[in-house]
Amino acid sequence: MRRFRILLGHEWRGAIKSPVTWLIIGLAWILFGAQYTQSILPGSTDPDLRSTDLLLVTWQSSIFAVYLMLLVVPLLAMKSISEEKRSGTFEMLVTTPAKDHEIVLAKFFALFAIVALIWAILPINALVLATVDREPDWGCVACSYLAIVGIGGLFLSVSLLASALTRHLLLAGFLAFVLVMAVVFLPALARKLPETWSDLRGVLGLGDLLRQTEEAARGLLDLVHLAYRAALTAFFLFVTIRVLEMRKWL
Amino acid sequence: MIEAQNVSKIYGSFVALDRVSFSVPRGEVVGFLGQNGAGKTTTLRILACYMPPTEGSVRIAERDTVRDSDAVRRMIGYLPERVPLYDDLRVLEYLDFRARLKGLRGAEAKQAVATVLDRLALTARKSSLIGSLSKGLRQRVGIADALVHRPSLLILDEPTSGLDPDQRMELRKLIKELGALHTVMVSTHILPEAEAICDRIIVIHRGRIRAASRLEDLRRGVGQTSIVHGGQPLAHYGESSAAASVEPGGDTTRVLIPDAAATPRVVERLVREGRPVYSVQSEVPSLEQMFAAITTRSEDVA
Repeated sequence: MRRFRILLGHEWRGAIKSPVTWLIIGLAWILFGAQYTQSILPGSTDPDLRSTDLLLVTWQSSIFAVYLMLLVVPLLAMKSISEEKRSGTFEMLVTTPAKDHEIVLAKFFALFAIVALIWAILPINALVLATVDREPDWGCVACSYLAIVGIGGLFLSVSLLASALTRHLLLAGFLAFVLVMAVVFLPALARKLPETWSDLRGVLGLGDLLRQTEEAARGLLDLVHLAYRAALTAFFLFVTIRVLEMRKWL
Repeated sequence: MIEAQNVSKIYGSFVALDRVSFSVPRGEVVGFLGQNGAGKTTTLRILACYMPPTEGSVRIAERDTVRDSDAVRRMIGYLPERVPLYDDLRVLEYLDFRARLKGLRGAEAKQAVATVLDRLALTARKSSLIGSLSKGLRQRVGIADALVHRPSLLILDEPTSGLDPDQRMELRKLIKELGALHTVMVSTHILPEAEAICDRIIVIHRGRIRAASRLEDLRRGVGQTSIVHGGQPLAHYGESSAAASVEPGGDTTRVLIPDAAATPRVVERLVREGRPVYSVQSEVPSLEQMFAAITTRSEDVA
């Protein structure tokens, strides 16, 4: 545990000291802010916020956040392991008493904290709205935040896997982008399956992140969905650790 | 300190190490000598617990590098060839991180970092960003990292590669000094370097150990005799392989006999053939000649 804490501190300091991290956070905030403003002011000629359905705002913003994460999370995580492997610092890490799983988990939680920081903009925007206009449904805002950050964690585990698979930064980024797209859109295809395939629809539906985000924006958090997402995140982290351990078998 | 028994490493169909066995006693500076691609880095990576061997076993201070890898990693200080460091960290910050990762705590870690900074003459540069350091200073930071937890075994992979001559000399001196306190395993393909710093040499060629002994013993093993005799060269100097080279030069001929034991027979033959023998001299080969002799001989055997 002590080694994990040391590695976590190292990863966290590395992340917040990197200008790239702040560039990504800034980009996410600007795009999210623009979308949020667009949602609460439908048409620039209508400044009356009271006509805005705040539930719809939370819903639209949450879905937009998931789409934004398709880009933001791979960008954040792509260099995490690939850069260590390319520069050789990975060899320096694993020849100390540090374990592969401690290294991967430290990277995951440090970047997860950055993802949580990025989407803190959602409750902050809601707070600003509450100050200038009226209170949003805080339950819905909280559910949305939790759902988005949870999905961010899943994307992160997928992106770390991509980063572990190659030493090439751009390839890692591209691979991460393709994999998170698959994680989002493959289960969404379940909706298109015929009714007779209800079992398959049910299983794939568990991973339908867009639908779950919509539900969270309405204040619904399904524990089964949360558990499924956590299990999927753990699965991708496990595969990432095994990929790093491949050096021992090959 | 190190006991390697029949260690093989196979990547797909490529045999990087082929049943390598050697041992290194505590307190020695051992040079691991070989051409690029001979298997030096693979061996050192196995010693450093980066990867296990495909077959065979390595024990460091009686601990198996696979089964007891945690304990082994606490005992070793490893410097890979490219000296990978975090360029965005400051020297002090980096060494502190590494000391704590290797199990040192609080004041103990601080003290250990201060000691290696002082020993490697890095104190004045402790606040410098690693990315801004020269190659020589980076190398020193890498060695400071390898030393910070006071390991009993230091593994240095091509530590002087890419350094200028002054930096090389300085580093060789340092490694020699380190040898007084630690067992040091240093890989190199620069022969004079091995000669300058090592008590013992292990020669690896195409994944196999070709020689492992003290320098003087190696020299004796591949030593040759030079005979200068009068007149024209003989058609045969005894056994077919007795003469490695024959250099006719006017009234005299110089013959090199690679096998010292064959010298009396060659001299006898020369006398019998009526060639006056002017000199018989035992030649001490340079490390380059020794290396060439060892690797050529092993290729012949293969």
